[in-house]
Amino acid sequence: MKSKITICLLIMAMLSVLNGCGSFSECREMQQKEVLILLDVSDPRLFKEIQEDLMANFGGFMSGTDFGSIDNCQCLNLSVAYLGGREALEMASASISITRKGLSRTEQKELANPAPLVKLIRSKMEEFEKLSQTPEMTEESYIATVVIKSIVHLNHDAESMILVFSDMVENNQTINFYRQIPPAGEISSVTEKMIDPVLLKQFRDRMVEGMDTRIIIVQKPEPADKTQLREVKEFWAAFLKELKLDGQVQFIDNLSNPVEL
Amino acid sequence: MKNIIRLFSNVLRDVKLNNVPSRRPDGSYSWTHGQLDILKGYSFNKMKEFQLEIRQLSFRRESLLVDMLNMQNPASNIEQLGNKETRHLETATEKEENRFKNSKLELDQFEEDLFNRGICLPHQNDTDQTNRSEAKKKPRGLKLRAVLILIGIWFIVELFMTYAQWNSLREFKGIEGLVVRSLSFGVVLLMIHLVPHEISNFTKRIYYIFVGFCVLMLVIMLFAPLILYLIYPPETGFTTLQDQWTITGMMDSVQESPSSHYPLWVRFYMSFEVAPAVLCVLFYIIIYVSAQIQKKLRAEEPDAPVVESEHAGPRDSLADGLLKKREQLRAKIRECDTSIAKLKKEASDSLASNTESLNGILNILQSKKEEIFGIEERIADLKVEMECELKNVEKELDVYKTEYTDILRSDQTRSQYVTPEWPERIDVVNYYKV
Repeated sequence: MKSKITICLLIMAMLSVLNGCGSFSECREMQQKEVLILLDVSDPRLFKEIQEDLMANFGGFMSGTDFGSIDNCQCLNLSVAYLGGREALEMASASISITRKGLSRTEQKELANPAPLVKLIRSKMEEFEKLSQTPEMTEESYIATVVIKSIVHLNHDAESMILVFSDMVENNQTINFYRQIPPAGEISSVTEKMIDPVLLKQFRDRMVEGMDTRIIIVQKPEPADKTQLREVKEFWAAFLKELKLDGQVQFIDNLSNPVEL
Repeated sequence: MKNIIRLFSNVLRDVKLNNVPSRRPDGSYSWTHGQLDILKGYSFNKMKEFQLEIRQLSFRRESLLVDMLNMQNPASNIEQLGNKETRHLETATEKEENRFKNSKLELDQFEEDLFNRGICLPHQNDTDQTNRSEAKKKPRGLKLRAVLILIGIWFIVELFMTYAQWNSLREFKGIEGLVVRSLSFGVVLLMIHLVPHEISNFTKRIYYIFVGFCVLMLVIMLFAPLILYLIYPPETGFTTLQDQWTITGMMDSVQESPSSHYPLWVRFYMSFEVAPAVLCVLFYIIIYVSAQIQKKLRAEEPDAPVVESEHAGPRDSLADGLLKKREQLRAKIRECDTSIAKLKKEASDSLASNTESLNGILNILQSKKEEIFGIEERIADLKVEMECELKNVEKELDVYKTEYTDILRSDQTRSQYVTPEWPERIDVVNYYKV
């Protein structure tokens, strides 16, 4: 009798242990990764070029970065927003994560599949294609504000990357590159004019806290050839230097160019 | 220096007085004055002391040896008596054990007879110590020990199998899945192992069915996943990372899991591979509970009709008689058991006391032996010292001889007529009588 009771108690103890096993395989801390894609919708021709670049090279680009795959206890959050005639940062996000350890390799592959993120990008591209044909988006362009907002908005603790697809031609009531691209000497006053003071303060506070963010600017030529690519690039280089972001920014022509991350 | 002068003057005197060292006709040696002076020197007393001490020690040694020899008899007697007693007790114990076995057989026969005749005697408090002691003697821990051995074997085998199949297992199973898989094997093996110990509860047919079922479940657990994975390979159709990130127009939905195309039973088994182990446990529980219920029902059956005589008195009824007989048999068994225990205790006590006595004798012999060794060592030391003294004496005698010869040689007249004879060791030894 005693041995039967002992055996039953052993089995019950085993079951309790197994039941609690879940807590051992759960991740205590999740490592966060974030990717934010900003697509310029201020010109339909520009947007088409951006689309072609994305469809041709996005797969190769992502597979070559750390952001292309996730491991145990990692989460990748991908957001897409437009750059256009509004200052607002309207993002749509999707994420994939592996929240447990000790999974089978098949399960890991399934959870790390970026299909939901690719689906988001594709759906947004379809949406933005229509948006790029609306006058509201094409008349003006608020690039600096949206980029700074996106930097401020990113998760402080995450390893993050911002992909900006644009011709980088700022065109609004404050600054209009079609009229004049401000010289490097006036960059501080221009910065204060371009960026809202509250936003700028938030940005500077964020910089003080420190951030692990890379900014890749895929600069396309202005479709109407009204601006010089080089001058535009020089402005933004000075602007980013003014904001102390120059060490974290890279300019490329398209996603097939090699980047250092 | 003093001794040399004295020796020389003795030699001169002996030569002048014509005192010649010689051997008597009977072979004994005739010492000169000078030689006697040497012999009676300081060594004389010492030699005498040595001699006395050696004699005393030898005497002591002899007496110790005699004591030791005298102890042989009591030891032999104790041993013989002890053996005799042990044999007697062993015989008595064997007799009692046989009586016990016969009584037990008789009781079992009696109870079987009652059972066959359908007579159910009322239960009494079983104060039968024999049965209890029998039950105690039964290896109660056998089942638990068997389980622990089984767990050990299972652990080692599972460790090896998991290590050998690690890569392929990890492809489709997480760590939790592996642990559950191993445990489910262990549970089925445990069920198969437990059943023989429960065999008294089951009929043979049920036992064989159960074991066959468990073996079948084991085979399914071993081979079914392999076969299913061959027929329905769990490929997810993953391509390269680059392809996964490529934005094309054709990907309208997330890739469906290929497993959604499998039949329902395959999907169920793949997600619940421990089902066979669970079935084995359920089966075991069902048949165990039914066996227990059956046993209980049998025990609760209305009492078999007690045979009553027409003029039954309390003492004269058959049941009373049978009860009485059963009690007698049980009492006999108890008596045998007590008697066996008593005899065994007596045997062990007797053995203990004999051993103690023999040990005492042995200790005494040991101490005497050590004393004898000590005496012999001392005698040897004394002999060595005596030898040294003898050598000293011989040396002095040699000096005497040399001087005597020289002086004699210088006297040509005397030397023609005198032929001294010189002593040998044996003469010195005889003088000192050592």
